[in-house]
Amino acid sequence: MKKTGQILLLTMAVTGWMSVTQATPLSDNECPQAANAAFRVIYENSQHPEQTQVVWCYQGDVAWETPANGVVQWWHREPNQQVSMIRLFGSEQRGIAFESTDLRILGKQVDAGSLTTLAGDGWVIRQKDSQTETVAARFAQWKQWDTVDFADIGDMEADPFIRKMINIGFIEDNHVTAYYADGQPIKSEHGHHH
Amino acid sequence: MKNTAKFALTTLTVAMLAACSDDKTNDAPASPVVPEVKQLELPAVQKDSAWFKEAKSAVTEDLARTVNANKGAAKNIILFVGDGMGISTVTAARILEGQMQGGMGEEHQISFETLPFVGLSKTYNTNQQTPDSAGTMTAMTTGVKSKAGVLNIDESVARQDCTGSQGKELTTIAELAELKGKSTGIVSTARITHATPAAVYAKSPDRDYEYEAPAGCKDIALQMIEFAAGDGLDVVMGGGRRNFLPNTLVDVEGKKGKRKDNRNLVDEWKTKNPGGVYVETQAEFDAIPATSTRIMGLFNDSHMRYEADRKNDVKGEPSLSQMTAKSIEALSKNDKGYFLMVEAGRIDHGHHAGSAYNALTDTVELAKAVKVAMDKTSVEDTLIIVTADHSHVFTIAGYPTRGNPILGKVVGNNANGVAQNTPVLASDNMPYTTVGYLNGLGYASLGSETDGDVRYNSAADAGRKDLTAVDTTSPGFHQEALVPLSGGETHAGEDVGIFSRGPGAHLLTGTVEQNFIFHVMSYAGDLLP
Repeated sequence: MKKTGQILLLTMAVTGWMSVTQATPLSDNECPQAANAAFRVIYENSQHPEQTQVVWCYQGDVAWETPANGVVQWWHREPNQQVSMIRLFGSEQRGIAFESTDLRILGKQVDAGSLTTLAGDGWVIRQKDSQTETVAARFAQWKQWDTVDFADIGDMEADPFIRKMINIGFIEDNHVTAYYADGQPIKSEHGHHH
Repeated sequence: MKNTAKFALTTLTVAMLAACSDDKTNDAPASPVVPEVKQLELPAVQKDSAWFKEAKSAVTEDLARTVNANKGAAKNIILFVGDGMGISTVTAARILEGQMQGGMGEEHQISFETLPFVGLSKTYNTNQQTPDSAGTMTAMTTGVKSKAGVLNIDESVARQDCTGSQGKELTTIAELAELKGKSTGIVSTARITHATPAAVYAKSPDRDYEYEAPAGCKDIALQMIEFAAGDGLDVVMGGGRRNFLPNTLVDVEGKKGKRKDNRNLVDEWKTKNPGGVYVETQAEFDAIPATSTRIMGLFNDSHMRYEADRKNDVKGEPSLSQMTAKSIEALSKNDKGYFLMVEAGRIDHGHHAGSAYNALTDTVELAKAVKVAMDKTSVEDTLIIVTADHSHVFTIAGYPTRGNPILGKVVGNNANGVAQNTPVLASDNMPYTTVGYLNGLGYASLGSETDGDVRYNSAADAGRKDLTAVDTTSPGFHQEALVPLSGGETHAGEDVGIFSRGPGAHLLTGTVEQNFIFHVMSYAGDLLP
């Protein structure tokens, strides 16, 4: 991640979340809600192999990690099959929790069945493994991080973490998980600069 | 409205006084001009109008209104707080409820608009022009304004100053009520440790110390369990279960506790209240014995669901009106009366997210809860107050025709004042909604897979969007905003309404400071030492 102009374009097959181009489904693109369900897939950009994305699956939960900036989107299937999400920020070891209702209000409902589907050009699987201990340890680590509810953000402008997240546009930057190395979201290639 | 008596209107037609006399030598005063008196009959189209007759009848009814100014006449006090329920929210909720019932909406009244006394509350905090819920609720529960973010601590203390806050705690109305032998209760659709309900019982230099606090402070959940005035809080219902459970424990809905001190405050509450009933689900709530006087219900790990989303809860949770009814039934068993605070906590969250639908449907549910209280209590001995802690930047705009869906696009009238068939177009040739926000996230529901990158990489998407093909009345729609704020839509600084009935209610008129509400409650209930 030496060049900030390099982009890591990773989109997710999430309804209303971002555009989907050429999907590259995993061989087992379901992450079952089973006690022994655990795998990790490391993708790399075929043109920029230093750029990676990691898809984690553990007992039905799916997490998308961008190692370059430490941002993780952790999707959780509720007992009633609705999906909630926590966006974690590795640099702060904190996160923002979106209940299914929040996602619906924001127009970001997700299809739980497609959460492990990586979409986009140029991504190739570098490594896939099913070491349950490794995966479980990663999720256990994330569980230790403090989270705030999205519903509470409107009343938390005095919180330095919230201010920082607002300033770098993460809270409502829901359409991409693509960022420059400095953590700034990547501008659209198609001129949709806002 | 059957009054057919002729209504004679006597008018005085005052002629102009005589001009100056030409006779400069005549010093005698001019004869006074006798006003010409005409007996007028109002035209039938006027006096037979329903508008005329109903309003005239309302005046007659209001003339029969009596007030009870006796100190201590309010055996019971119920304070309803619509969090973020500004005047525009009340108006829009009125129209929405009326339209949900098949009417045009504008003429409708939600329950608390029928209460006889209305005033305005100035909501600012001592350090903030536009306030937050902690400072505003402190004003209502202690009679003293304080800083934003601070719960029942004097304004001289800096936020988060645990050491400085010691000795600067303010006594709350719940403590006063308990010490008078009354029962006390709190109900909220937010976490029961959230700012508004917390201000009933906790003293903290920061509203965010819900489950842990720095040295010198005690977290809010623990303060609730240890609330020591009288026999403690009698009824507690709301969300926020996680703040009472250790972070090693997973709750009934699969969510983890937050506490790092390994204390299980639910178990501690059960131990302290052997005759009490603890419930977590709709089924358990429904099974609460009618004889119960000691109840704690924590129905969600965080905030309870929006009313419109309640059906999606994993284990089910009661509505605000159901909790209000159950609370009144339990508290009213005390012959000395009770103090109950009921908060519709998620009106605020709906607005912050830019979702008028959720804000308004939760306001409608608040109105339903107030109706429950009106039906279950007597105006003779119960003071009911309905107010808000602050407003939001939520507006009702344009010139929609009468009966236009309040969540819809503006459809106006033609030059003859007759409704048109298509939405009015703004100067940018796009339709616009009646309700909207000055700031916030803005409209982002364009998101289908095919146009998702319209919002590509934008933190907030304020400004205009083409809503031509969008159903703006759908629950998932969130309104446009002018100023982009990724942190969400903000509170607003204008006054909020105070609606009331019962002993002392007549004092809650005019424009008053928010802390005045405490003093009316304490006078009406004779709560001050």
